[in-house]
Amino acid sequence: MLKTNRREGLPRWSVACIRGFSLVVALIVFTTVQAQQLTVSGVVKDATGKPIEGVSVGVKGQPAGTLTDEKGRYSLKVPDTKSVIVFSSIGFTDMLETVGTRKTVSPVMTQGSSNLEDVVVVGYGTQKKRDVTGAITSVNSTQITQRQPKDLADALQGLAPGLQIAQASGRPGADASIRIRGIGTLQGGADPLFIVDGAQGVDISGLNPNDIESVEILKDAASAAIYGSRSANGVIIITTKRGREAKPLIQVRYMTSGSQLSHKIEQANAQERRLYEFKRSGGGNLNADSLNPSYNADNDHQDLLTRTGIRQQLDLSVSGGSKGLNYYGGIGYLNDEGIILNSYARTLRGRFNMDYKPNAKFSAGNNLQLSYTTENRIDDGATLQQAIQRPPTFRIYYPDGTLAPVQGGRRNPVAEALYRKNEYEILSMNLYTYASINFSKDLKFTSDANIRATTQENLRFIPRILSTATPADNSGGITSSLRGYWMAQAYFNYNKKFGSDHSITAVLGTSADNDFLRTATVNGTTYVSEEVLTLNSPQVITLNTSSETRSTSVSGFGRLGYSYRGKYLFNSNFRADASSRFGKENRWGFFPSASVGWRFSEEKFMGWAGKFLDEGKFRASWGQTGNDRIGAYDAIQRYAFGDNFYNGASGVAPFGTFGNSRLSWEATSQTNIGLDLAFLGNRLLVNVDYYDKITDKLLYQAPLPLETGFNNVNVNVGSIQNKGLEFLVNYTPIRKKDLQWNVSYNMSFNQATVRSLYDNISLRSAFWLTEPGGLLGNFYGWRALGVYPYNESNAYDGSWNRLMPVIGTNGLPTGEYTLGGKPYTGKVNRMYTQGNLLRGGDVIWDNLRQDSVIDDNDRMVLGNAQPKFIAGLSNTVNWKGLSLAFNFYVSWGAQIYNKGLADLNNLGTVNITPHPDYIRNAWFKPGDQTKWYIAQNNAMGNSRNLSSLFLEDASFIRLRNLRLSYNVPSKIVSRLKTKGINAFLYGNNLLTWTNYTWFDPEIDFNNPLEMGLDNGRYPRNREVGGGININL
Amino acid sequence: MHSDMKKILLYLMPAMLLLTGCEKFLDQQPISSLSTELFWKTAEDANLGNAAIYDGLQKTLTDCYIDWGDARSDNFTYSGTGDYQILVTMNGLTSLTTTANWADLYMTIARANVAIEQLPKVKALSDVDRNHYLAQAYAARAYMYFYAVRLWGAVPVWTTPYGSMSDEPRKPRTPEDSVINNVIIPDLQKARTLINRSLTNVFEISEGAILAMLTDVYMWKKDYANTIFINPSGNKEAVFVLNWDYTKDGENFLGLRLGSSSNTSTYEIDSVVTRKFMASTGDLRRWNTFDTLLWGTSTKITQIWKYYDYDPATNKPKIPSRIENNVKIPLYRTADILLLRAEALNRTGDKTGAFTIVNRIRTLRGARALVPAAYATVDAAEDAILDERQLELFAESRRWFDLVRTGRVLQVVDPLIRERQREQRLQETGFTDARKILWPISRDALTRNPLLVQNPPYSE
Repeated sequence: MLKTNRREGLPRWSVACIRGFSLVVALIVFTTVQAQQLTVSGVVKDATGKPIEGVSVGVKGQPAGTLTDEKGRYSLKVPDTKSVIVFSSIGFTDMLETVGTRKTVSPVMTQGSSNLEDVVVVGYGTQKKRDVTGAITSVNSTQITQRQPKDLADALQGLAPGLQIAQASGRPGADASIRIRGIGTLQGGADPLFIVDGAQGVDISGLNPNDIESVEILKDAASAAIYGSRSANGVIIITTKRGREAKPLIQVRYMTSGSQLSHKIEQANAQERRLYEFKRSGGGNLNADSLNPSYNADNDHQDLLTRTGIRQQLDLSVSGGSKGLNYYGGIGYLNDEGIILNSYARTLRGRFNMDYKPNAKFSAGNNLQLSYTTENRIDDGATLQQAIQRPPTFRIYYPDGTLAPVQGGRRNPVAEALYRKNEYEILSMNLYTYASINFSKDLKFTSDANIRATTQENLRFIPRILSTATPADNSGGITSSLRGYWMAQAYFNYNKKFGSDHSITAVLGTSADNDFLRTATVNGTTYVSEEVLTLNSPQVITLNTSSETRSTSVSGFGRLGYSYRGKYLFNSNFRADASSRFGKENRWGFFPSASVGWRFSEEKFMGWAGKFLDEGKFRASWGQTGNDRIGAYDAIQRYAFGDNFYNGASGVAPFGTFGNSRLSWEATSQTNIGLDLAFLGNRLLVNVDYYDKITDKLLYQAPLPLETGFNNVNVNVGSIQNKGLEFLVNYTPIRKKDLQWNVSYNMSFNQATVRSLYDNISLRSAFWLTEPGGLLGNFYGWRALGVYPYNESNAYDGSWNRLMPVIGTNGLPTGEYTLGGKPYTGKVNRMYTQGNLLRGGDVIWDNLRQDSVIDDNDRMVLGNAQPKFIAGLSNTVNWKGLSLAFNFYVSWGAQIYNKGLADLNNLGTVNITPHPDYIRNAWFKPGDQTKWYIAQNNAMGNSRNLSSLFLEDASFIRLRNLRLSYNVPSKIVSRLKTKGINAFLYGNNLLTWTNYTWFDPEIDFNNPLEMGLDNGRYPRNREVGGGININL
Repeated sequence: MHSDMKKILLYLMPAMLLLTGCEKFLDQQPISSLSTELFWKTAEDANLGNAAIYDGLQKTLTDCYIDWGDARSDNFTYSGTGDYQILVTMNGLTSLTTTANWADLYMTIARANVAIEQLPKVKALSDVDRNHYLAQAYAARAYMYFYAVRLWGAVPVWTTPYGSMSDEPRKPRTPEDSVINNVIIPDLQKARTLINRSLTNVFEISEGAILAMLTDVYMWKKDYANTIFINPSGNKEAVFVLNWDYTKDGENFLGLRLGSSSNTSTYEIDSVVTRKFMASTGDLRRWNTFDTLLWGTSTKITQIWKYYDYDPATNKPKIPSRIENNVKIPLYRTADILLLRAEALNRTGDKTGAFTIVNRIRTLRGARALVPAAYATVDAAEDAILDERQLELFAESRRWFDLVRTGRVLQVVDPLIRERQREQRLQETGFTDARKILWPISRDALTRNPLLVQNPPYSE
C-alpha cells in the first residue's frame, strides 16, 4: 500500500492546493479617458547611430505608449506642449524629453547597465528599480553576451556583489557552485533557489545563456522571503527573452575558440627523477636497467595528456510578434572539447516562448525549454593525477605506437583518457504554461504550472587494456535516472494608486509542487564483447542499486507594498510552507519579512544637493527565510536493504542515520541595511549593503556515539552567522556620442562563523574542524616548523623548548646543547611520533600538547578556506562601432589545502614522483637545513594529512574576460540586406596573478564542511576565440 | 468591486473544499526503503533481520580480520605502499589508525540488539525458529564483544537498541572482566540453550560455533577447568565460516590486505614464519599456504594460497582479482579447538594428552610427529603448541590473540620491530610499552562520546 503513492502523480490533491485560499480586499475601478491633441514622431538611435528597435515611448504619468519599429521610428500622441516623453529600453539609460514646440523628437540613447527607471523582476511581479527596498542586483543581457558564456554561472561570475561563483573544475559541462552571501547551512544544501520566468524547478544547466534577457539576484531575506522555505540561500530570478510586436528579427550567432591548459604544474624530468631515486635509496642503487626503454623515457605527461580544445557554438533565434501574439524561439548548439584528450560536452539547447494577449483582459503563454547533452567525463584520478605522479621515465607508447599498459602500479594517463568511458546522455524537458485574467485595471489573476522531466544515463566502461588484474578483465555499468517535477501556482496581483500620493501593491497566492527522483545502477564484468556495452553484454552482474524518492510541498504567500509619493516605501512579504520532508507536527513553516525605503533625495531639505545627487535611497529590511533541502525521508526512522546481503539473503538493517520525527525547518533571519545613490546625471551609481544573517535550527547529520550502532542523527540544532558588507560602484566617466566609457566595481566581504552545534560536539575530519565559535572552513592539522638537521637536533628541555646541538669542528654534533644561546646542562628530552623517535630529516612539528609525543592532540587550526573578500571590475569602452570590454575577478585571503601536492610528496610508493622542488631540496645528509623531509617512507608521518606544509594562499586576481567587438557600419549592413552585423574577438581566463602552485586557485564551495580542498581537479583552460553575430 | 469579490470567492471555494487533501498530499512514505513499523512482522522478516547481523560481521571483519588478529604478530610485515601498514606492523598505532575504529563492530552489536528486542514480538514465528534466530543474535553479539575486549580492554556495553532521541547515547567503558562475565558468557550460554541443534550450516552460527566461542572465551580467561570442548569426533573441519559473494557483498578487503591478482598487497608474510613453514618438511600446509618457489627469491610473498581453490591447469591456486574475491573467511575450525584443548591440557599437567592432539594434527598434515620429551618445561611445550597453532591457523585472525593470551607479545614481537626499525633507518626502540598491546580508541569515538577515556599510553 505504500508503493501506491508514487503512482498518484499530479492530479487530485494538487488541484486543491493550487487554487488556494485568498482574501483580496475590495477594489474600485477608475477609468480615465483623456483627449489627446499633439502628434510627435521621431527616430531613436543609440550612440553609434544605429536605430534601436523596441524602445518603449510614452508620456510621463500615463500608462499607454508605443514601441519603436525596426528602424527606430515611432509616433505618439501627447496632450500638450508641456508633456514629457519617456524613452526606455532595457540596457539603456532612460531619457526624458519635454515636447515644447517640437514635432519631431529624436533622442540618442546611451547604454547603461543600471537604471532607476528599469523594471526589476521580484517574486510574483515586478517593481520599478526606484521602488525596491530589498537588496537586489540586476544583470542584463548586454553584460551577459559580452562574455561568451557557456552557462549561467559563467555568465554571472564577478558581476554582482555578494555573489560568489566558482567552477568545480575545467571539465566541459562541469557544474559551478553559486553562493549568495556566504554559506548559512551545513548540510541543508547551499545552492540558491532558481526561478526561471516565474517557475521553480527549471533545469538550469539546460538554459542557454543567450536566451537570457535579465537576471535578478535577491540577496536579503526581505526580497527572498516570498519564496519562503527554499530561499535561505538567496534567489536568482531569470527572465528569458520574449518577442516584441514587430517584424521577425532573426539573429544568428557563431563563435569558435581554442583553449589550452592555463597553468602547467612544474614536474620532475627524467634527470630529477633519477636524483630522487638516488636520494631515496640513501645514495646508491640507481635504476639498474639503463637499457630498458620502459624505464628510460623523458615524458612530459601534461603535454601528452592535454591538447588545444576547440569550442564551437552556433545560436539561432527568431523573435517577433503581431498584435496580441509574440514569440521568441532560440536554438543553440555547443560543441565544447575539453583540454584533456577525449573529453567533451555537446549540448543542444532549445527554447520557445510565446505570449498570447487577444484583449486587455486575458493573456496566456508557454515557455518550452529542451536540452540534450552528451558528455565524456574524464576520470580526473585515472588521468590527471597519474600524469602528475607517474615517473617521467616510464613509457607511454610502445615503439609500434600502441599504448603501454599499467607499469609499476602507475596507470598510463593517455590510455586511460582514450579508452576509459564515462559517458553521460542527458535529456531535459521543461514546459511552463500560464494564463492571466485582468478582472479590472488593478486586479489580475494568474495561474501557472511548470512540468519538468530529466533523464540521464551514465555509461561506464573499463576495457581489458586498462585492467590491473591477471588475467585482464573488463568492467562497466550503467546508471540511469529519471527526475520528474511539477509545480503549480495561482496568485492575485493588485496594484492601485489612491490619489496622487498613495500607491499600493499586493500579491496573494498559493502553490504546490512534487519532486520525484528514481535512479538505478547495474554493474557488471567480463563483457561478451567490448564493442557491445549494453547490459546484456556483461557475463557477471555485480552490485545493483536502485532508489526512489518523492517529496511534496504546499505554500501560501502574500506581499503588501505601500509607497507614499514614491518617497516613503514599505514592503512586506509573507509565506507559509508545508513540506513532506519534515515530521508531521513540524510540517509548517512561516516566513515573514518587512522592508522600508526612504528616498531622501525627494525631500525638500535635500534640495541643496539636487545639483549633483539624482537619487538617494536608504533601505532597511528584516526577514526570515527557510531551508528544506534535506533527504526526502530524514524525519522517518527507516530500514534499508540492498547492500546488506549475506549468504543469499538480503539483510534488512536500520539506516545508519537515525531518523528524527521532530525534524523541522532551518530558519535564517537576515537584517539588511542599504544605501543607493546616483550622482552626476545617473553617471555615478553607488550601492552599499550591510547584512547580518543568522541561521538557526541548523539541519545536519550530527554525529552520534558510535556505540549506539548509528553513525549520526538528523537534527536541527545549532547556528551559523554570516556577516558581510558589499558594494557596487558604477561610473560612466565619458558619455559622448562617439565615445562612452563605463566602469563598474563591486566588492563583497563575508565571514561565516559557527555559533553553536548539537550537544556542542564539534565535527572533526582529517582536514577540518567545525566547532562552536570557530569559522566555517577551518583547516585542522599539524604545523610543520622545519626539519631536524641532525639526529641530535631532536632535543628539548623540561618545558619542551627546542635545544640547539653544538656542532664541532668536524661538522658533527658534539653532544652538547645550547638553549637561547647559553649552554644547557639539564636533562635532554626527545620527541616521538607514531611509536618512533624523530631523527634528522624528519619534520619538526609544533608540540601543542607539550609532551613527548606528536599525536592527534597536537592538531590545531592552521588556516581558513573562506576568502576575506571577492571583487569584480568591469570596463566597457565604446568608440564609434568599436567596443572593448574586459573584467577582472578577485578572490582574496582564502587558503587551499593542496592535496595534489601532498599526495605527490607523500613518498608512500616509489613510483610516485615528487615535485622537483621537493626532489632538489629534500633532506639528504646530517646538517642539511631545509623545509623538505627525508626522501623515504619511514612511517614517521612526515607527509601526514593535514600538514601546514601544503596549505597555500589561494588569493588571486584574474583577467577573466576580454572582448573586442566591431559593429559593421549601417551603410554596409543595409547593403548586405541585414539589420546588424557584429564581429568580435575575445579571450577568457587570460591572465592570473597568484602564488598558488597547483592548477588553479579558484575552487568550488559545494560542501561547507569540506571547503578548500584541491585534489588536483580538471584544470581550467585559457580560451581565445572569435565570432560573428548577424541580425536579419 | 462586487464582481471582483465574487470572482475571488469563485476561485476560493473549491480550494476550501479540498483543503483537507493537502495533508494527504504531504504524507510521503519511503518508496525504496521501509519505515520501522513495517518490518519485523513475518517469518521472512526474521530471516532478513538475521542476515543483517551476519552482514555486520562481514563488514566488520573484511577490513579487520587480518589487521586485528594477525598483522601485529610475527605472521606479517609491511609491504606495498603507504604508512598504514608500517604503523600496524611496527607498533605505531594511533587514535587516527583507521582499523582502531569500532564503528562497524558496534553496528553489528546494534543489529543483534534490534533482533533480540524484536524477535519475541514476531508472532508468525514458531518457538523453535524464534529461539534459533535469538541464539544466533546472542552469539553474534557475544562474538563482537569478545573481539572488542581483546582489542581495547574495557568497552561500553549496549544490550538494547538505541531507540529514541530521548535515550542517553553516551555510556562509559565497562571493565573487561565485567563484559566477559556479565555479557559474553551469559549471552553464549543463552545461545546454547536456544539454538536448534539439528541445523549445522557452517555459514551460520550452529551449536558447534557457540561451543567453540565459549572455548575461546574460557581460554582467554585461562579458566581451563570450565573450558568446554566440542566433540572432536564430529570431525567437521569447518565450524563457522563467513560466507562471501562479491557480486552481492562487494569487495572483500582480504584481497587488498593479502594479495590478489590485481594489486600490491598491504602485508607480506614475515620471514620468521616462512622459515618455520620451510623447516616443516613434508607438511602439506607449507605448499598450501604460499608459493614455496618464491622462497629465497627477491619477490615478496604476499598471496595466501590456502584461501583459494586449486586450479589444475596451472597447478596453482587461482588467485582472484581484488574485487572479484569470494574468499570464505574461517572463524572457527575444529583444529583450532583441538589445539586450544592441547594448550589447556598442557597447562593442567597432561603433557601426553596435549602432544597426542598436536601429533594427530601433524600426522594429518603430513608433518613429522613431535617428541614430547624434547619439551622439558610447560612453557616449552606451550611454545610448541603455539607454533603448531601458528602454522595451522596462519592468517586466520588467531596468532596475535594467542601471543596476547599467553603473554608472549614482547618476547616474540619486540625483536621483529627492532629489525624493522633498523631496516627503516630508525632509532631502535622496540615495542617500547607493554600497555600498547591494547589498541587505541579512535579519535572519532572519543570525539563523539566524551565519557570515553583513551587507553594509556596512547593518551599521552
